[in-house]
Amino acid sequence: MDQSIVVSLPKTTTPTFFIPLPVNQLLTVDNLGLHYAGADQPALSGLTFSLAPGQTLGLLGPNGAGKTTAISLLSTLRQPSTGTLSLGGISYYDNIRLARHKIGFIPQDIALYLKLSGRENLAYFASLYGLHGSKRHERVANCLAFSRLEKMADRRVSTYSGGMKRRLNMAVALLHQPQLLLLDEPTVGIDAQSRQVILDSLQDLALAGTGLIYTSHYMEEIEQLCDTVIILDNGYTITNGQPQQLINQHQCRNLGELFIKLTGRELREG
Amino acid sequence: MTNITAFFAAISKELRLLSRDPVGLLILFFMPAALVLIITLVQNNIMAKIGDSSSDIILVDEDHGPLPQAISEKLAQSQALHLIIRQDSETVRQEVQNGTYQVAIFIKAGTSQALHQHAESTVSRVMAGQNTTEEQTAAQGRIELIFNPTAIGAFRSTILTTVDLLALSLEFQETMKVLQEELLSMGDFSPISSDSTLEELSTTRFLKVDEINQTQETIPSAVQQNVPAWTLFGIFFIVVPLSASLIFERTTGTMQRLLVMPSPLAILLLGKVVAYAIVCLGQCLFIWAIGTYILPLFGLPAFMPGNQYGAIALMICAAISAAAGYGILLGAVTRTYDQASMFGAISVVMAAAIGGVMAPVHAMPSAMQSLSKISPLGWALDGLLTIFVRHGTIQDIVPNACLLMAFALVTATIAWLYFSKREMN
Repeated sequence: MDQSIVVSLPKTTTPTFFIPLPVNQLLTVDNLGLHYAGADQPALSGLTFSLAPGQTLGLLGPNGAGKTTAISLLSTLRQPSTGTLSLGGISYYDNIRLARHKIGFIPQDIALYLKLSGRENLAYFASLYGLHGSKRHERVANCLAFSRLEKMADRRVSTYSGGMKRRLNMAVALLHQPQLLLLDEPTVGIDAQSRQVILDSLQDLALAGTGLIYTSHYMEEIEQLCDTVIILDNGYTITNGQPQQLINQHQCRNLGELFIKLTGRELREG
Repeated sequence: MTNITAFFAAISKELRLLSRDPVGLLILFFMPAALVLIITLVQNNIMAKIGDSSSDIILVDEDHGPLPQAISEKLAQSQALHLIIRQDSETVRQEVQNGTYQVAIFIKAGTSQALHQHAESTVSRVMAGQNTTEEQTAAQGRIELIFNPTAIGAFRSTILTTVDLLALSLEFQETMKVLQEELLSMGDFSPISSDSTLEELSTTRFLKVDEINQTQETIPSAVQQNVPAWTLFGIFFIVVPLSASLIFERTTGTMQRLLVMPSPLAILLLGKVVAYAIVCLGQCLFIWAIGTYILPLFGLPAFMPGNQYGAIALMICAAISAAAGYGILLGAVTRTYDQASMFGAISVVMAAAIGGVMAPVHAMPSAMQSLSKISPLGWALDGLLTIFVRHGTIQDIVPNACLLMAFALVTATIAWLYFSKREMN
């Protein structure tokens, strides 16, 4: 792993506003799959795993492997063709609204209103989670502090740097204190400092008991953050386990080498 | 509670976004306002052009004598007018009032006979050297014209002048015919010696051509037609920013984020529509204020909205709903902002043109008049003109409002189905 791109910043203290929730098994995924109408092959098939509170799972795979499909199923954006999903022992589809209250989703794109300020964006999305009055004000302030955007809070997002937009993009998903946070390549295209802030923040969240599911093409991030990884290819799980255990098992030097060994050097354009 | 909070948050967010797009707001507010000003001024001066196209003209013949026959022969020679002869006067009155036809000429039973008797009487008095003026004023035959209240002033005056000249010519012919018969019967072929006799014969008018106003109200001005027309154009122009706002959310991943939130998407879309409706109401008030206070500064009559507030509110709400439904549909089916803005703007201009916003429907060729019946802008304009020009009530505009609401429902449903299919696949 190339350590030269990781710049150490002072780590944030464990935030007091992420309250650990009393659940034993946070997420259980069994035989999850999605087959698009008209497609020859499933976009995702047989995905099975469980996640405990505070645990971080990395979903790896080349383009078209099924990572984004998995995230869209886990976030309730799409309904699976096969399999079951339960959060805190309750099936997603028994009460999808309740599930959505417990899940935070950070999309790959900057899903923000650029003409609004950071504070206005947060206040709007907080309202969509039913937060209002002093509670909303408090949550917005906490998330601004958590993403280190207090000084820029009242400036329009269009004036933010790429890293600031990414941090705000993440802060929106934390407004309602989710038990499970889904991150779809949250550090694409940002500088090393902002990336490190995001990674540190995620570690803080995990320490506070939030379950994280993380997709990224940056192997060093996965090694740094994740307790377990699942490597997908063409919609199927090709291996899973603890990163170091898998590296040793396949006699590789790091996760990047393991990834190439398992998925091949062929270019994936999809 | 979550839904109510989300609803008001969506309205607030959308209004904030709109307020931060000054160019967009400038277009939404000042474009229709400028169009009202310019088009009304232009139309006020060159409305005679309206007469260029062929118009239907109804002749209701209750007389069945030579006078209506002569009038129909003369009118039939005109290429600018298409003559239709009818007998059912009450139906024709209703059709003219509701805009099916723009003008009807009524010739009452016995008018031809009265004209002939008047000619005989005039000739005999003239031959006897008596004055005819007192009798002329007491016994006048009437040719009545009824116009649709939305018929433009130049069109009215052209038709009135044409019919009046025709009546004068026919009356003179009738008098000359009687005079010729009288002279032949007397065997006197000498010229009429008295200048005053000839003068009396040529200036005596029996037939009087009158415009009858069915609603007993004043003739509408270009202002009264253009202000509601361009207000509606402004309202429908919100399809461009509304669809653009949806496309932005779809293409930036914001829609994905909204879809995985607990608040139903329908509530958020409703909040968006309400925000745009607030802007539309602002547009209405702004354009009507220009009609009321600015246009008179240019020598035009002031816009008179009247007092049918319930009917006005219903029509405006229905028009906003139709525009919002169409905007959401465009936002769902188009893939880029460029597609939405180009298609949205062009389709609204086309709907405005065929709906009578840019030129009155009755001045269009007949094929275009048929097309105007499928334009939501045409339905809305017809409803507002019913209120502002024909002085209709809420009952009169319910069909138009229902059509607009149905359009809103259909477009929104198609948008929802299309959107659901696309997002889920």
